[in-house]
Amino acid sequence: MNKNKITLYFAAGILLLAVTLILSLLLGSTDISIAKALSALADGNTDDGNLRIFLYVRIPRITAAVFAGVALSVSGVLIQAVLANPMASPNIIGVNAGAGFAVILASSLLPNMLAFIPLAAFLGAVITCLLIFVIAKKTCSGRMTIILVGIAVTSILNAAISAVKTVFPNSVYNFTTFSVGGLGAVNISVLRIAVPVIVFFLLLVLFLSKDMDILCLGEETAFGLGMRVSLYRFIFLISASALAGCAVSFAGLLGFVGLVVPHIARRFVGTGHRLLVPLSAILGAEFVLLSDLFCRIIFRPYEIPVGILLSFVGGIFFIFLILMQRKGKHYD
Amino acid sequence: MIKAESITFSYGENKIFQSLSTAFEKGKFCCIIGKNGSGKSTLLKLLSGYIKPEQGVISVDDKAASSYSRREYAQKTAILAQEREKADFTVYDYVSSGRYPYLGITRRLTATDRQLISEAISKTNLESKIHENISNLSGGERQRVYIASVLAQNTPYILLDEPTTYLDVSAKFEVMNYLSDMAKNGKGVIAVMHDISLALKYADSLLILDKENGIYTACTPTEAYENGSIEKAFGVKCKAISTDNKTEFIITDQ
Repeated sequence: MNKNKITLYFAAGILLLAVTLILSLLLGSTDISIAKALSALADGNTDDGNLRIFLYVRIPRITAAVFAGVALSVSGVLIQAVLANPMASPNIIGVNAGAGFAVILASSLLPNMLAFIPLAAFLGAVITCLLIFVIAKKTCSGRMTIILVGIAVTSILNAAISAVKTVFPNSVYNFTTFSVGGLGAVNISVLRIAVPVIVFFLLLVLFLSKDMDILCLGEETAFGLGMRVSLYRFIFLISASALAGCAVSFAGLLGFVGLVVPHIARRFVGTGHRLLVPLSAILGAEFVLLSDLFCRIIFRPYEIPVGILLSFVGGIFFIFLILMQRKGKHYD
Repeated sequence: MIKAESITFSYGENKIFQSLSTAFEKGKFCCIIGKNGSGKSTLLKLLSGYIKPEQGVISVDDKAASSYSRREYAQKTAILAQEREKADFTVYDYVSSGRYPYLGITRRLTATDRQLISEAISKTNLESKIHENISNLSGGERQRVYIASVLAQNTPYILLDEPTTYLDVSAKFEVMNYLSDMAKNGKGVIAVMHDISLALKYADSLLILDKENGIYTACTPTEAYENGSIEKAFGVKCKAISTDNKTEFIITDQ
């Protein structure tokens, strides 16, 4: 692949992300002046309205949008690679729902232990992901079957979420936003734990990008090249679950980011994971951040949860993918 | 030498091999032939270590396969599996995957790796295609890429599962010539073949699997013609035609 083109794609992605970051800082239900906020910060005037919105609303929200986008899109890349299924993603095979169920359960049973939320999300995501993988392996399921199993598992977990919510109606603040995914009420304590975990697994996945390439050649070929296939599959599934679980712990059940973004990134840099993982991370951050900005300003001063827009765009994209598969075009 | 000694293997109730013993030498092109379901691909999977025999031992260069680490075994045998996942890699990236068993913890290619990749690309005449995506290549070109990746793995033994499937007739000859040249250059080449005529034309030796009668025959193509092994195993006629001091074999149903 042409190196200049790759440099251009990455530069464009980073530039676009930087512009969206600045716009996200400035725009929202209330316009703020960054100059005034910085001036208040220099003066130590912590009661200044601009500074308070800047520090306690915009920066946590932007951080959450960026890291939710990074985590879900890289998780999507991993799940698609391990299941060898371009239609798989954390929300479609039920990993997000597993994490969401664990978050609701932990919030209900341990309401004063917020630090436990990311761990619960991780465990919920891991158990669901391994369950889907074992079903896929044991039944030698085709690609569509995995999707159908994922839909069934998601349905069961959503019912479980509703059941827990019925028994513990006050367990999660703003449950509606959590269930569709939103960044309006991000818990900073949860974010402080989730962000380092996302960074760790992102670096791990980048370090193992060559191994992901080998895994994508097929199980028998990877085995013939000396790869310990089961071990690497396990590492990648744990990483995918940790990333998706962390995103769910602070952003709720955001859908379709892990499906849409890897496909777009592949159009630019192909299937080699050394480039696909970082570009997916950049585009994922951009996708969620831009969508959130749109949701904040489209009906100002009101806002809609970003998950609604993402599900709308992602749902259309998913139908497009199925139609392409039916026509025999491999859009991936 | 790769040796299979007293191998027994079954899929559930379906017994595939009962005390199969055979050997494959370096510098020889051996084709494994047999009817559908006779266990050709299963034998290749056993030789590659992908599946384990219920009984018996597979050894490579006088050392049991089970005593090699995964990496060590991948430095001894390379396998070209029949089914490969669709991957949109460039030709260079795909061929470089053959160096995976030799990479260090950083997974960076060394100068030696790059040299062997270049040699593999050169031997398979793919120099002009190195930046092309393999999904844009013809079936014959793609098969050459797969063979180049196996060459880059630089192992003494190469196992191939139906390397000519889906190829047109000229591409089939091209691939078989590559494999034959690899054997002449000292590699032990073992290929599962559906096309008996191609196997008879190019192989130095044959392993004929006759599952119905539990007979495993190792012989040269000429011996297979003379002793009627092909006819017994497949229920077809094998005829010899002499042209330009060479004997060619053709398969007919009469």
